[in-house]
This record gives sequence, structure tokens and C-alpha cells, in this order.
Amino acid sequence: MKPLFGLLFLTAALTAQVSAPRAGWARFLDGVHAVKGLPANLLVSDALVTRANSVSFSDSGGLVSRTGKIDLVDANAQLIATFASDEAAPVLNMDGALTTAIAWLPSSHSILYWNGKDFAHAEANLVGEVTGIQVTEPDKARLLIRQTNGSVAAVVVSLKTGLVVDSQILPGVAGRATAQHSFLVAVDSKTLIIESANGWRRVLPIAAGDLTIERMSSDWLHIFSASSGEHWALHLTESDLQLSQLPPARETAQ
Amino acid sequence: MKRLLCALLLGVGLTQAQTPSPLTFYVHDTSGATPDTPLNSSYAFANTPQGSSTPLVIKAVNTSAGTIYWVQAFVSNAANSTVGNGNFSITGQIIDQVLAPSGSLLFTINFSPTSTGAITGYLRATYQIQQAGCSFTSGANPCPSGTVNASTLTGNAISPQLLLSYKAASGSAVVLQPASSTPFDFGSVSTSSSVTVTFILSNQTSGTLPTPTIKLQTTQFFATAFHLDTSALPASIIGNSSATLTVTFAPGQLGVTDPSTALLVGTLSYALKGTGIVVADIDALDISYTDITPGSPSFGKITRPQAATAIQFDQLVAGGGGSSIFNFVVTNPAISYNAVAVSPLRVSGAGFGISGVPTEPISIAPGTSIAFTLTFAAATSGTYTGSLSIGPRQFVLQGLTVISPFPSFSFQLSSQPLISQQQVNLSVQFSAPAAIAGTGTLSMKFVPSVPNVADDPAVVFLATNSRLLNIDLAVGAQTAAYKGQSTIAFQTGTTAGTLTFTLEFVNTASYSQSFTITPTAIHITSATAVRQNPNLVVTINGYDNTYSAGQLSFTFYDLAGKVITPVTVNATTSFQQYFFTNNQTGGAFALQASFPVQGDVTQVGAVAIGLTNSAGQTNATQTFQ
Repeated sequence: MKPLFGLLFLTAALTAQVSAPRAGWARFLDGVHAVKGLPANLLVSDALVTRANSVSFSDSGGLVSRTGKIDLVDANAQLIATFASDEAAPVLNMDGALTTAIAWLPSSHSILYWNGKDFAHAEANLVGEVTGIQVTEPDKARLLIRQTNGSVAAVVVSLKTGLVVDSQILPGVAGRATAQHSFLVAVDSKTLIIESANGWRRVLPIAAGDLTIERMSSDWLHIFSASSGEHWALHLTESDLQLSQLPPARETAQ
Repeated sequence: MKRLLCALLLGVGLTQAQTPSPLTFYVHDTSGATPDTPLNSSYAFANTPQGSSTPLVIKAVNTSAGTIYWVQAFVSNAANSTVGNGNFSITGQIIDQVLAPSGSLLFTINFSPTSTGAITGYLRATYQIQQAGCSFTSGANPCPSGTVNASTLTGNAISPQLLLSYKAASGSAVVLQPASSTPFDFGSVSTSSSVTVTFILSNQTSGTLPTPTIKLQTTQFFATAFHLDTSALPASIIGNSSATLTVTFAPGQLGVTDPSTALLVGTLSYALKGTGIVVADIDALDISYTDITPGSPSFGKITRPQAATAIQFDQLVAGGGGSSIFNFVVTNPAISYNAVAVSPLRVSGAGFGISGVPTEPISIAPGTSIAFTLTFAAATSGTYTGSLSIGPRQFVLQGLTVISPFPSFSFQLSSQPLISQQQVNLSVQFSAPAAIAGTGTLSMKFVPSVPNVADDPAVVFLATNSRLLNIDLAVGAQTAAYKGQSTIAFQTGTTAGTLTFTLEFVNTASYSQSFTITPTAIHITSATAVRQNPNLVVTINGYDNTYSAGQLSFTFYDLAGKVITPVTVNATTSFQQYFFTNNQTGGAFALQASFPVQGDVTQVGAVAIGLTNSAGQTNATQTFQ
């Protein structure tokens, strides 16, 4: 019970803050809504934050694509910077600090990223459909690319030069893949597969031909099917994996 | 009619002088299938049997530049006459109407011959037209008036087939003309009395004719003072014979009956009229009732009953345990001279009950009222008839109970007992395959057991993010489905309480089942412990479904696993403020405790967490990262 020499707890200055648990931001038919709660207990805010055609959020902020531009926003969805991408379907990702904000622009075959001050741009000549992208080092990005035969390649690209630094086929992975922490999440028309770095796999019971995955926050992924109108939220951290149904935003509820 | 005479007197010269006419007449198709066509100077009706009627809808348009005061249209015996022709009637006409330029109105000419042979009538219309400061109403400067001859009407009346008549007091049969602008008048009848007239339907041909459909035309949703009895009518009437039907006028309210009331004989319409009057003091009582049956589509509707129409209670499901409830108010108008004694005030008939009756003797003073309640409930299916006596004023009561067309059903949950922070699948199972398809309404209600907590917004059906959805039952199915899915997922929220599901199908007793979510110790969903020099930060996500979290304990360990120091925190105020101030997430919470430290934070290896609420204590250990 005796305090260690040289280590003193200043209990008088202790602060305990209680708030609503945040799951992040999710895009529904009418736009982006805040999501709060816990796994299996999710609440979608009625308030519409913004309209968007693609989003990716971490706990620090997010990227929002709409009407040909990509917005960088902070943790409260307030605008920090805008890039006129003229891109209908960019592949967005932000999984940590603002400097993890990165996007693949398919029409210009280029990578857009936030260097802490401005949006920077690197052209990259890649073959295949880019389904996932993340900043792995300050000057490198890893892209998950679906090949024409359905397999997935992990390609590391230099953000300074746009040149491929490394490329390898991910054995046994097929479909549209994205990265979450050390996991790989891939969807096809039959299943949602989560593969850990050591090769362990978990197959989740989601089946739809048009599943889309967007990051809600650092630990949450939003998975949805536009055709069926079904939504799920996947809480995936190094120590937790929980799939919950996500109620639709009330404006779009049928 | 006074205005017509006035207009005729004032406008003698105008009829001759004014050309062209400010009014243009068209033949109008009320279905809209064909466009209006100009009414020619002569119009021939189709051959029409005596005692029958052929309608012609006319549209009159003000084609002048001035405002017109439409007095009325009529069909006369001669081109320059104002004497009406009994073979024609005009209905649906609004007289004394102002028509702005381009304004129009509709009316119907009915060719209803009273005898056979060729018949001619003259459609004429009387009007005033506004000119230079004149007045439609002032006698000093009246607007000029005129009568326009719109068309010469001809028709051939053929031998009658069916004639409707009644026996007058003199004993002679009086033939009724259909589509007459003058309704058949039952006269003035006290509200505690009635008059019955026997009508005779005569087959004027030598062959058998099928009896036409006979019914009353009444205003929808309102009780009528007329009652039709066709029990004596055969399915067909043989040649040269007749059959009878009766219409009873039994008013329950004072005043003239609704002008739209008519006796419909096939396609022919005979307008009916009657007037409810006060003869004895009891007749003056104004009687009304309000439907307060829970869930009734007529809930809150006020009805003024007529003695001729049964008071119809809401349809119930046999044995469903429900009742149809009507609140009655009987008022003696303030203009009455006397207090009215009401004796007896009672209800008879199985299934019907009365409550709240004032203590006898009952007397209602002018300007005051009494109230009582009638109920209907029955355990077995069928039609029930009773009567309500308010003194000598009698009202028939009717109730109907039905058997559910659906098999019995129950709820199945994928997980029981329910606990907080769960997503559970519910299915609706029927005891047998459904013989008919149906749509039911499934609702959920959540009542927290936590004091001063009204709700938990996370308790919803996941498909709709609401607490209500419609489910379908297909023929042959034993499970109901929502959009093809036989399992319906819902969230249990993070508040202790009772969750009740209710399913309602039409003509079926609603079914409810409740599930209790018991209070539990705080549940930790996730926790992290992070060194942020000079702080140690512990973050906990979880829920407290009792909303009573307060005492927190943190015991820190060094890297060797030895206790450094325990810290206790009373966070009651923080939790209470969070739970009870604009709470939008139920009992779910995120707690961040930050511990300022002097020294090397890297010496701290782990923390044991203890959280306490009214249901107990929860412990967890977290390693610092």
C-alpha cells in the first residue's frame, strides 16, 4: 500500500468524465449521421450532418467525398480543408490522426493525402481495382488491389514518387478488401471475412451482392447493402470483434 | 319564388330586347368522359316509361362580361309561360346564386312522365344582370332581369313498367314521380313517436319483372331518421300485380331531416322528408353519445341517434375481453319550459350494460343534462340486439362479435431471459397454417424500472429504428414476416425495465407478452489504460442499467505486480448528471478517469478497476499501454 518512491498520485486532481460512448459517423441514404452507443446497443442520431457519397472517419476526424470534392473534417465533423477532386468514387481512409487521411482517385490514378498542412498528390500507375488504402509510414501507403482474377494484392507505394515499393498477392483473400488495425476485412457476394495478421480467419454471416464498407471511427466499420437497406456495425480492435445490426437513420427508415 | 316573380315583373322587356343571351347552356357529362356539348335549341329525351325518369345534366355558363344573379331554371308548359311542366323536374340546382363572368353551375333535368305519349317542355332560366350601378337586391335601382329560353325539350313516354305509389288518407293510390324536386313528406312527428308509410310497387306489364334493388340513400356516417323494411318484397313481381314495402320515419332529433335522404328504387330516386317536433316535454331532450372504445376507429366521434336507426356498437372479438363503450349525454335545452322526468332509464338485451345512471327519480331541468355509459361485451360470437329506454323514447342497440380468422399466435425470442445490450430476434409463431393472408401491427413498449427514467431510445426494432412495424402472414404460413424476414431483430437497450410486445390483427384479440430486463451490476464493454505522462488515463465503455453508478476504485500495480496505491473516487455526481440531464443513450456510458502522477509513469504496469452500482460491484483489470 505504500507508494513507490518517486511516484505520487495526485488524487485531489483526479478527473472522471462521463459521456455518451461514440461509435462514430455513418453514411445512410440521406447522408451522414452520428452513431453512439455500444456493440448491440447502437443509436443513430436523427440529425443529418452532411450529404456524402463516400466517407471514412477515425476518432480524430474524417474524409467526406461529395459533389466532386473531398473534405477533411475534424472529430466534430467541422471542415478543415477541401480538395476539388472531380472524382465520383474515391476510395477514402482515415484510421488515426489527421495525417492518416488518404484517398485513391481512380479516374486520375493518383493518391491524395494530407501532409499535416495541405493536401498532397502523387500519381501512381497501378493495375486493378483499388478497394482499400492506408498510410503505413509517413511517406508510404499500402493499397489493397483486386486483380482481374479476383485475388487481392497488397501494394506499397511511395507517396513522394508514386512508385511501387513492394507488391505481394495476399494468399486466400478474394473480393473487396480493406484494412482495419492489423486485420484484413474482405467482402464478396457470399460472406464477410476477417483475417488477422497471423492468418486466423472469421467468417461473419452477412450476405449481399453489394456490400460496402466505410470506416465509422478508429475501431468501428460501417457495412451496408444499398439494395437491401440493411446496415451493420463491426467493432474490430486487437482485443474485440463484435458485429451488430445498425438501425437505419429515421429519415430513411421504411 | 318571390325573387323569381320580382325578376319576371322587372324584366319583361329585357327578355325580348337582350340578345344574345348572357347564359350559354351545355350538356354535361359528370363522369368527365366526354366534353361539354352545347345544348341545342331542341333536345329529345330517350323514350322513358311512365313512372320512370331519364336525367340530363346541364351546365349553365355566364358568357357575358357582367355578373349575373342566377334566379333559377325551370321547365314550363309553353315557351312564354312560367307554369311548370309536371313531366319534368329540376334537381341539384342551387337557386339565387351569383355567377361571375365565365362562372358556371350544374343542374339536372329529369324527364319523369306522368302519362304516356309525346311530351314537350320548355327549359327556361331567369336571371338578373349587373349593369351601371344597379343592385340585385335594391328595389330602388334593381338590375335588369330576363328569362332565357334555353331549349325545347321533347320526350316520348312509353307504357310504364314499375310504378311506385302510396295510399293517401282518402284511400286512393297516389303515384310518386322519381327525381322530383318535391320530396315525399312524412310530416311532423314527435321524437318519441313514428309514422310508417306503405309504398306499393306495381308491375304495369303483363310479364314478370325482377324486383329492383331498393334501399335508402342517407348521409354517410350519420344516423338516419328513416327505416326501410323490404321484408315483404318478393324477388320478382308477376305481371299486373304489386308488392309492398314500408318506410318508417322515427326521428330522434328535432328539425327537418337531411335533404339528401331518398328512397332508391333501382336507378330511380324518390326524395324523402320528415320533421321531428316536440309534442310532450320528453320530446325536447337532446340525446347524443360519444364512442370512447379504446382503439376504435370511431373513438371520440359524437353521434346524435335517431330512433329509426339502431345504435351500433363497435365490433368486438368474441371472448377478447374488450368492451365497446359509449358515453351518453341527455340535455334538456335551456329554451324548454319544464323539467323533464326520465323514467325509466334502462337498457335491456344480453351483452349490453349501463352504468353511471343518476339516482332516481331522474329529472332534467331546462339547461341541464345527465350522463351515463352504455357498454357492450359478449363472450360468444354473433349479433346482439337490445334497447335503450330514455323514458318513452326508445332506441335499438346492436352489437356484433366475431371470431378471429387467424390461428392463435405467440412470440418466440432467440435469447431468454433478456438482458441489456442485446440484439435479439423475435418471431411470431402461429398454432396452425393461416387460412387467409393478413397484415398485423407489431409494437413494442418499454417501461423502465429505474425511478425517474421515462424511456431508453435504444430499444427499437432494428429494421425500422422504431417501435412499430407491420408484419405479413401469408396463406399457409405459420410464421409472420417483415419484408420477407421471419425473424425481427430488436435491441434491448441499457436500462432495466419491462419490454412488452403487442401484436394486433384485424378482428383478432390483440396479444401481448412482457419480458423483464433485471437490474444488474455495471457491465464493462471495453476498457483501456494508457500512460500519457504525467497522467495515467483509464477509459471504460459500458452500461449501468440501474443509473446508480457512483463509487469507483482503481488499484495501481507496478511492473512487478505489486500494489502501488489504491484510489477511490465517488463519481456519483458525474454519473447522475450524465444519466439524468438530457440523456440520449440510456444507461450506456463512456468514462474517462485521468490520474495526474508525479514521477515516472512507466513504472505503473496495470490497474484493477472496481465499479459499484445498486446491483453490485464489477471488477476488471487493465494493463497500461
